Amino acid sequence: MNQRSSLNRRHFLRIVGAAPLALRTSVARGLPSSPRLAYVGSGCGEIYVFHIDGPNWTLKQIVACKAPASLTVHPNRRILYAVNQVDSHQHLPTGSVETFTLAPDGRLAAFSKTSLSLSATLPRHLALSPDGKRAVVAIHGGGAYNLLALPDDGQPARIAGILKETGCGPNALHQLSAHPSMALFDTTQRRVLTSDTGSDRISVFAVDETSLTVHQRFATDAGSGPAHLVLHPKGDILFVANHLNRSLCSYKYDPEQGRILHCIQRVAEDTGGPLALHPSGCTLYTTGGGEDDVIQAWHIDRTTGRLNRLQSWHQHSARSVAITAERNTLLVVSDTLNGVLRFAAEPTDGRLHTPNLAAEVPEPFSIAMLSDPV
Amino acid sequence: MPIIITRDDPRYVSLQKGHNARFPETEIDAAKRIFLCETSADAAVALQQIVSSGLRPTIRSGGHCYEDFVANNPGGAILDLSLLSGINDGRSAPPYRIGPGVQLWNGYLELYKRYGVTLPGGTCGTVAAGGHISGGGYGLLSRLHGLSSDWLTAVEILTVNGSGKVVPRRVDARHEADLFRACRGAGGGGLGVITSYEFDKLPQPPVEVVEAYISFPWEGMTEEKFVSLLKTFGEYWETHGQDPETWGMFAVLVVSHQAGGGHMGMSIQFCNPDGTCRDLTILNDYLDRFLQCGSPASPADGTGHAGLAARKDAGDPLCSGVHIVRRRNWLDATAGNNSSGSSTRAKYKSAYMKRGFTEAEARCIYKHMTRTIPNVDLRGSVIEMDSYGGAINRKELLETTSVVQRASVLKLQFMTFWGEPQDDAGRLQWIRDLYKDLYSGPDSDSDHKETPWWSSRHEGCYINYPDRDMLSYTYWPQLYYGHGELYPFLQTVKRKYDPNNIFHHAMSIRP
Repeated sequence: MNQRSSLNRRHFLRIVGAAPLALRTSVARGLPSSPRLAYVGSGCGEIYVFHIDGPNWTLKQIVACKAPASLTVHPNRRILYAVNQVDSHQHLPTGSVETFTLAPDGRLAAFSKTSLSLSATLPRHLALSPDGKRAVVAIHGGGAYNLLALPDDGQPARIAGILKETGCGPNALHQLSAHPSMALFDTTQRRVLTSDTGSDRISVFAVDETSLTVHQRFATDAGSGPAHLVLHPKGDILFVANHLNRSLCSYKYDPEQGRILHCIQRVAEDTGGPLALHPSGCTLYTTGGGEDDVIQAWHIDRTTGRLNRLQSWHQHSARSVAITAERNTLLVVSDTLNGVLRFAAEPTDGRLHTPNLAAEVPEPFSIAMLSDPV
Repeated sequence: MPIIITRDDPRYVSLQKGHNARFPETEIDAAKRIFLCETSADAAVALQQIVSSGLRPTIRSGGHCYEDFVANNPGGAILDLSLLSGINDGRSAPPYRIGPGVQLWNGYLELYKRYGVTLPGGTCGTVAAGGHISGGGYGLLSRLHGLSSDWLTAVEILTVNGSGKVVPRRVDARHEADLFRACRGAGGGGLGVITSYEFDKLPQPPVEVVEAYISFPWEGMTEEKFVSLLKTFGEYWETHGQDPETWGMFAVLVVSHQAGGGHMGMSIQFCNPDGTCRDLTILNDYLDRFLQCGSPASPADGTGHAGLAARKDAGDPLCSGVHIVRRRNWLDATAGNNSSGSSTRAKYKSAYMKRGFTEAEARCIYKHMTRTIPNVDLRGSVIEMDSYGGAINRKELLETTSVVQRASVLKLQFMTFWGEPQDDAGRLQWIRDLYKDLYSGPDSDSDHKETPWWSSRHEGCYINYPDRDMLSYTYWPQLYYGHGELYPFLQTVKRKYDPNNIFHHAMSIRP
């Protein structure tokens, strides 16, 4: 069942060269069309905008953006938010969130830049509420969360609430203080699930117009360093990748009560990196391994919530730093390959096919997709 | 238990702001609640509650922070220590234990009446011990006795550990000496909550002092006269001011903007090193130097420097050479010198000077103190030039305190005060232009222009006169803490005792 590949960057480039063949293959299989646009954040201080036509990615634009660690497209498809993972903004110790407007062809235009709260250094991730009215920023360096109000009158985002965290863990190198890594709205939109790599904690916060308040704290294994989160589309299973002990845990979550109930399963094999879910809800994609270069697909048993491995790809020297899944595609951002790997996925169960290097981006570390409207 | 003031409390409007009426800048920037603490136990409870609620605490004792470090705290909590205002609280002394909420004048009065000692602190009577001592603290007796923080022997402080638990500590030179050193001058509100300052010894104040005042009217003032005045002033403190026999003399030259009309003035408080005024030779020699610049010393008419002026109606008039001065007992003089001015909008800057003024500096100051800007009222704009040095400059204190400016002879405080928000831009423009221009002259360091960077002439800035404008220079920490080992040391202390950076403001030590 497991497939192991060991492709280097040169090999991927050859595959890119053979893209038309791949496209024909895709069409021959009758897969739906791919997402229309991809935005890839680069550590070189830029966002790369690609137009996507199946396996063919065409670079449309490069725009300046200080350090886009997280990219999120607003549900209205007219705004892109970029979290700048910096420790200083306007001479103050804080990060920023940059807003871009999207032209009809997907091109970006810088619109505004919102300074985060004082001491909100190295923000890492932004979660947008499904209604697009609020966002929560996980601030890794400064150990805090910022609640942003997103006015629909075209005004820039503004800080509506601040939650300052404390916490530590046994790992003296990485856990001397709280380090929030990610935030995720649950299906009710009233709560946010968060991971804190520094304090071995996942939390549930209640969200209202002006505040984030702690609803539940849930301790993970000491030294685990929870980082990446995904929530099953049904809203009842939370998958957590633990960055420090390189493991994966799934938790039963009660969205009505806003409570993490119990751990369903722990997986320690080649996990701990970024996660993505196939939209079908049948398959979880994980990354991990010693070099974050193992990509795996797991079948999710909806009855028990347990995972069974479907596939495993060891992309030698292709360290994964971000992934995102669409119905027929899994995209893996690799900073060692300086590019984006594209796996074709079976639309029904998310099973993956051999990847190609879809795009070259220097020092990539984030990605967002703009799919065709459903 | 702490008293908690929320927005619906009638006290909130008064208590959510400090002395500088510029802050909080907007309603959104204001703290959500204020915790008034009457005991150190209250402070611990309040701090734990604030931290556990995920709020940011900002710490206030007297409310005189020049910048937005306390009052701008959007949605957060101000931990107010103004009611921790006891001295020794019934315990015997020494050691002298001073609460952070003790206002300086009250502290002087109580220390003097009970124990016959004083703190060599400042002249703004409602400034409280908390911010004053933790940022160094200096005043009229500092040339004779050093800084307030130089006398500090222990503090009680609340810190927050990695897991968010409040930890009460008592630190001194033997116990957690690193944190203790950081509490001796690095500035307030950035490491923890100091609930008590302890001093094994404090100096005795002078028995008496002589006060003098010289007026320098703007009418008839020329640039050449102005240059001569500043050079005369600076050269004295650069040379004669180093002599320990002069350390009992403190002078402040208040250069007010010409728009205010009237006059500039210099106030002097003098005593001999033994705390008496038996020999006025040094004072007379000093005053004589200014005869060429103004008139002989005479009692002030009350329009001079608010904090220090020999008033016509105070003390015993005394002819000292050609000068008329006033002899007063120290407590009366100190009482007269401790007014605090009203809360207005204000902007401040500072600079330490190791030498007197160059001609270029003096001319630059003249230019800006006579400058007009259309539609900008510059009344209430002044530079206070304080004599400095003496006992402050004991080099052995470099290693045990966090005040690194130990070679200066003058300290400048640039100030402008105004009433209305619509005047902000003009006022800020004036003071910024003055400062940048002054420190971009021929003697400025080419890599650090616009700042009093460390050189043969300057020693950076004073953290108790914080200036957010300095943040635009990457080397701002070195301006305040020097370019040696102190700032890295303070960063180590910060990471150790405040690992979650609970206590932060725009110019707190960066972890």
